[in-house]
Amino acid sequence: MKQSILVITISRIMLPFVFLYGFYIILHGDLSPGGGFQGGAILATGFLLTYFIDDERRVDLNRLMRREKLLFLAILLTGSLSLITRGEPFTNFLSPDFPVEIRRIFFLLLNVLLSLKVALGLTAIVETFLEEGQG
Amino acid sequence: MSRRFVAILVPFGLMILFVRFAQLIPELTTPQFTNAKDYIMERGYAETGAKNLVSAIYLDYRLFDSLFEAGILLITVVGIVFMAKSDEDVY
Amino acid sequence: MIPIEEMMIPIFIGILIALAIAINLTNNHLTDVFLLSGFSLLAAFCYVLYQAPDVSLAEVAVGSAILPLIVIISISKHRSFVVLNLLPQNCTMELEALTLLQEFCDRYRLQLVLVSDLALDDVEFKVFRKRNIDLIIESHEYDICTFTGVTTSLMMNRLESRIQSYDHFEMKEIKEGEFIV
Repeated sequence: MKQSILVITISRIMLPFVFLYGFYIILHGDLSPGGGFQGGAILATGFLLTYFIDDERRVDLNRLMRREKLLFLAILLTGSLSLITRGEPFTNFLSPDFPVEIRRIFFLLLNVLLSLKVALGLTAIVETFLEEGQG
Repeated sequence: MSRRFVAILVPFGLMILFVRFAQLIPELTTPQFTNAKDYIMERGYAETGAKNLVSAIYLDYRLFDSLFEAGILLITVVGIVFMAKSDEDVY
Repeated sequence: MIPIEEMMIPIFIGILIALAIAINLTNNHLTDVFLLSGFSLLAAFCYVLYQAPDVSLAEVAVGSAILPLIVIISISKHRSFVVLNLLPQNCTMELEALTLLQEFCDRYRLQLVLVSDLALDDVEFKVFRKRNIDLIIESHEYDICTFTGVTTSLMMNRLESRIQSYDHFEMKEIKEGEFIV
C-alpha cells in the first residue's frame, strides 16, 4: 500500500489527538460515558494510524501476545483481590467505608488494564492480517 | 438473485413472528420488571462510587462477566493468529 | 409537540434497513466496505438518540474504523497473483503462457508475481498452505502445459474460461491443503 503525502500529513496531525481522546475516555470511564473497552478500541484505532504514516513498520506478534496474556492475568488478579480484602469475590477491593475519591482507584486500575488489553488484542488482529500474504 | 431475496426475506419474517409472539406474553408488555433498574438508579452511586452507572454495573455488580469477556477477546486473538500463521514461530 | 430527535429516529432506521439490503446486494468489495462503514456510523448515531452513548463509542471505534480497515487490508492483499513457474528450460510454450497470464492480470488489475527458484522438496510439501501460491504452471507431457490452481480461489473460474480456447493449455484443480506429487 503506497500512501499519498496528504494521508500521511493528516495522519501525523491527527495521531496525538486520537491518543488524547482515548486516554480521556479511559480515565473518565467511571464519571462519563466510556470505559475500558471503548477507550481500548480508540487507542487501537490511533495505533492503526501509524500504519498510514509508515507502512513498513512491523510489531513483533509474540511480544504482543505475551503482554496480552500477562495483562489478562493482572485483570483476573485485580478482580479477585477482593476475596482477600473483603471476603467476597469479584467486587471492589476497597471497602465501602473509604470515601468515594479513594474507591475510584479500583475503577481507574481496572479500566486502564482492560483498555491496554483490548488495544493490544485489536492491534494483534490487524497485524496478523497485515503480515498474511506476500503482497 | 432469488436466493438472495429469500435470504433477506426469511430473517425479516422470523423477526416479525418473534415480535408477534413476544407481544402475546403479558409479562413482557406490562412494565413490572423494573426492580433492578430502580435499585441501581437509587443505590448504585452509594454502593460502588461510580457516577456512570454502566461502569458501575460492568466493573462492580457484573465484574465476573466482564472478566471473561476480556478472556473471549484473548481467545479470539489466539485463534486468528493460530489460523493465519502456519509456521512454527508463534508460541 | 414531538421533539425533533424522535422524529428523526424512523428516518434513520429506514436508511439503516436500506443500507443493510444494499450491502447484501452489492458485488463490489470496495462499495461493500463503504456501505458497512456508513451503516456503523448511522447505527452509532441512533444509539446516541436512544441515550446509550457507551454503546455508541464502541460502535464507532470498532464498526466504522477497525472492521473496514481489516476488510480493506484483506482486499489489498489479494492484488498480487503469485505464479510458480516450473516449466523446463528453453520450453517453447513459456513465452505464450506468460503473455496469457500477464494479459489476464492486467485485465483484473492484479500484479503478476513470478516465483521459480524454489527447492523441489519444498514444493511437494503442502505448498498451498505455506507459501500462498495461487497457480503452478508445469509441463509433464510433450506439448501440453498444465495450470494447477486451488479450487477455492475466485480467480480460477475466470482463468479457466479464458484458457478454453487454447488447445495446448489445460487446467487442473486441486483442493486446498492437498499434496502435489
